[in-house]
Amino acid sequence: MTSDVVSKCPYTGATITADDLEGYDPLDRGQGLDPEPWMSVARWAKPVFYMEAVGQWCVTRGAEVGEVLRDPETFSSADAVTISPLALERMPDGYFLEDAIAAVDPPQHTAMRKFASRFFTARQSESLVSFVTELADRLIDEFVDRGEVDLATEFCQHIPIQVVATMLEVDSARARDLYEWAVNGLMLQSEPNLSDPVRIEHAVETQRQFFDFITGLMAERRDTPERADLITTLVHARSDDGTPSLTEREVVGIVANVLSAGADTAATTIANCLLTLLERRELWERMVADPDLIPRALEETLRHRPPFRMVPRTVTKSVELGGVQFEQGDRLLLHVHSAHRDAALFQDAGEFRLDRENPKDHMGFGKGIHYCIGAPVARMEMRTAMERLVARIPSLRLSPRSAPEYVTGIVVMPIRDGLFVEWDVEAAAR
Amino acid sequence: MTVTLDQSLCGGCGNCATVAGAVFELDPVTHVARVLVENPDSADLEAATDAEEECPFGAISVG
Repeated sequence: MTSDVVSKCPYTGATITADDLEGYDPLDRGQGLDPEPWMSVARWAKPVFYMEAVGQWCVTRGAEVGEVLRDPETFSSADAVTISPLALERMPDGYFLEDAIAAVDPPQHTAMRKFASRFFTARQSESLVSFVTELADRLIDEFVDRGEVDLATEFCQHIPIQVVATMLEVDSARARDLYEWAVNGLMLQSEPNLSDPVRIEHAVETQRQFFDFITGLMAERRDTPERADLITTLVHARSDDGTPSLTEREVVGIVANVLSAGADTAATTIANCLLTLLERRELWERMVADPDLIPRALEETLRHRPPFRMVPRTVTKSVELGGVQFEQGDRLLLHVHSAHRDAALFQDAGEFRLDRENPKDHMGFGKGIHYCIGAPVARMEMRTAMERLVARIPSLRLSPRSAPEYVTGIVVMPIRDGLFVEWDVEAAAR
Repeated sequence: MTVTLDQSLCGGCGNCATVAGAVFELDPVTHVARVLVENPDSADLEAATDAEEECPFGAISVG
């Protein structure tokens, strides 16, 4: 009786049943941003369903999303990056982000991750607290006297990419370029049907610049073996027999992965957290009264409005999942947002709550062997940035012109702009 | 000092096996981590303590 499970489209008011799910389009702005009217039906009636619009299967329940993430043999990350064939045609050597740590399987994955992981430890990230504090304060200094600002473009988007730049010892003046290149790369992976020649041309050009910049850094670091940064370590890594441990493509893949994963997700999470707290301003007041609640608010944001929307995997062998029989080559998109709204995983899953017993049980950083390597750094920079805003501008509130816009994509939905806030200038710590 | 790991909390990221390969291993079939040496010697104990700190799921305790 699957047709008994119905929901309502918030835009048209039309009834949604299991029969309508095939028409779900994650690249539609409204459906992408608020997938729950479709996903709430899917989780009950058809937990794994085919999305005509993108030609891939959507996995909606927490149990199956977790199962897939924890079984890299059956569900491969290689070949899971789908970009427009028209864009790929313009890349004679292939797309370098196909060699990202996130896009390869063991044993290659194990080797690549091992080299990068020691740069992202909890200890390493705590050593960057003072850097983020100064960065956040400098950004706030820029706008504190104005009484109104778009926090998306003048605060959130600067934090993570500046942290990655300092970790990789890249000139901070290049941070904006890195951000643009990374977000364009993520969007390219988020729009497999992209066909607009102007947008393809632009995206491919940004990725060429991104690639040239990374290979330029690698060449420079080959001449400076005394440095201790990630890129230097990678280009000088040698096996016992003296040969390079990593291929050129693998080094590019690691560096590009660190830059693209570090550019947007934490920025969007800070923005999503601020938005939720300011929409229900009593929650913001609670942060002001007790800043120790900030990490909880951020974890709950990663659950309630995760920056990674859908995670791609490719099936490697015959397997049944959520009542559907899959064969080698079938493509899945794991709907993280939907899994986080699954009542089997979280009580009152639709609600933003600061008192959850299991605040970290979300998959906002993934699960299994691809669990976000940068999670400690992301948590530290998000927490520190929020702490500075709470401490310096306690009277912060949404401005009447607040209209946050996101870039619509399958994999991620980065905050674009429009997170306008205002405050009492006299009450702010200038 | 004894190393314990709560497998019900393990998220299967394998950080522990990277940080302290002599003490932990990620089961190749279940993808859940397990303790190989419960009472490691001092060098491995130090690595196990690092692994405790680096476990994103709080599944490891050394004590």
